[in-house]
Amino acid sequence: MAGQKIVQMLPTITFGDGVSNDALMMDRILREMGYKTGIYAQNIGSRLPVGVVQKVEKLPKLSREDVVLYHFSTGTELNRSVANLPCRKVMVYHNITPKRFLLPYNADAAVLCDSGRKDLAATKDMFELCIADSDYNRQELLELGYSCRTEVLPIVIPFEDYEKEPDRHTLEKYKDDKTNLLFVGRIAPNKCQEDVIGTFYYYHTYINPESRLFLVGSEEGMERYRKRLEEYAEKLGIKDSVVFTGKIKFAEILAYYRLADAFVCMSEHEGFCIPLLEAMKMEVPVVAYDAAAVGETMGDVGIRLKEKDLQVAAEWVHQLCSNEKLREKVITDQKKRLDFFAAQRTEQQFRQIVESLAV
Amino acid sequence: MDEKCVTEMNTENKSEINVEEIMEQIRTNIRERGYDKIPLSFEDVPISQPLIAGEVEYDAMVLRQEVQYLNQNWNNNWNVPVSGGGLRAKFKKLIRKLTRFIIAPIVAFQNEYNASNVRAIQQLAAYAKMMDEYKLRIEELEQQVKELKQGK
Repeated sequence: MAGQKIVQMLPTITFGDGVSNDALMMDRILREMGYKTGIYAQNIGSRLPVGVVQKVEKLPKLSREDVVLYHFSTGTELNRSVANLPCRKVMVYHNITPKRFLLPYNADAAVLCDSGRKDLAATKDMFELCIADSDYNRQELLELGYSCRTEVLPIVIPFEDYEKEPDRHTLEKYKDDKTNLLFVGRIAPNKCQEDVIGTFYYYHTYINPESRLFLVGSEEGMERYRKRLEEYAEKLGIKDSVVFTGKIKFAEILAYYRLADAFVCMSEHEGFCIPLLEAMKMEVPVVAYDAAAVGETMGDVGIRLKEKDLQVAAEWVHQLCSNEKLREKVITDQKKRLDFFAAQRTEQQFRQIVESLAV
Repeated sequence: MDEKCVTEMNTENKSEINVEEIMEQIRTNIRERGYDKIPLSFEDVPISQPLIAGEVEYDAMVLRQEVQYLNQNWNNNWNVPVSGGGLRAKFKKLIRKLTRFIIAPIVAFQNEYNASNVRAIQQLAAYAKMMDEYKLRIEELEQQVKELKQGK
């Protein structure tokens, strides 16, 4: 190990998103383990502390024994240039949204994701180890013909951050007796917010008119989809009860979780889905459509719908909001589920992976 | 309710929660509430086209005009004519002569770069024209398919 470098590379790193948190956790552990390390990115978010991440151009000279941990999550020329580095390569695979979801709304984003998936197939023999956020992600690699060693390492979520003070203004604004349904996640067609709206339509129209839906998440690049969602809510006659927050501060996100009575996820493509665990941490019962990695992240807690039946989803929301015994049981089980994703556990697993890379 | 619609939750402690009972309650509720089909499918809402930051709407006419402008104006001459006369003009000519060794190579490089850009844009314009033709052809074929389906 003496002198061995293990560095990380990724296209974009910003403050607070899952992939970036993952990279920062890995960086901390690599330092603790005594490795020469660093994070190198093409695009560096302005809110990150200065010096934590450097531009890719500053990547030091690497020897054959050094290791690059490359976070694979989109289409970028970095995908192939990393593959050509003269060192050992490890991929951290965070999944890539299939282009079919994005194409009607943002052709550039669709092309980017498509090229990412092509790169993923083309670089299958370049890595000696692939670390996937979920078994769902790992299976995708295996289906593409990856024959190297693969490991599943969940994304580390800084759960202690969720104990911070929620935004008071938001709490005050919606302080009433209404029942609040919530979904947190980028406004993106693979997350199927239209089905969350559909579920809410049934709940609001047939079960509880004193209710509202919060759709929390950035719409950047998906403005057309957001507009379509708004028009859909308007045509269903529930526009006034559906709140699109756009991109908001973490304290505000905490406030929406605090306000929520149920978390509804109808997503059809997730490589991990951090908000499910956030909801569990914030003691919000989850109703989710069991697609992609959603079931794996939830484990056997919360309500998992095997079929996407919005009436059933609305009725489950009603059960969770009205049956106190059920609600308590679901929340208690959900909190137990978080032990599986405890930072300590994941960090220990990462240490073992790193030890296996030592020379 | 569709029997295929299976819902899962932790049934570890069945004495606490009877999932089957809840499912039965849900089935009963759905029957009794008289749910109608959702009045509007999401597919029925058209995708509007507000432009995303940095995007422009394709307009074949604008493209043709811009390409024409580029064709005529890509090549710049460093030797800008000096207007007027007298001492002032002579001074300007002197400055032009003295700075020629700096300006000329920059302008030459810029002209090469412009030429390359124009060639690339001409290629894109040709491609766009081809796409326009394909679009017309697709419309024609769609019309034919429609007519065939109607048994004409």
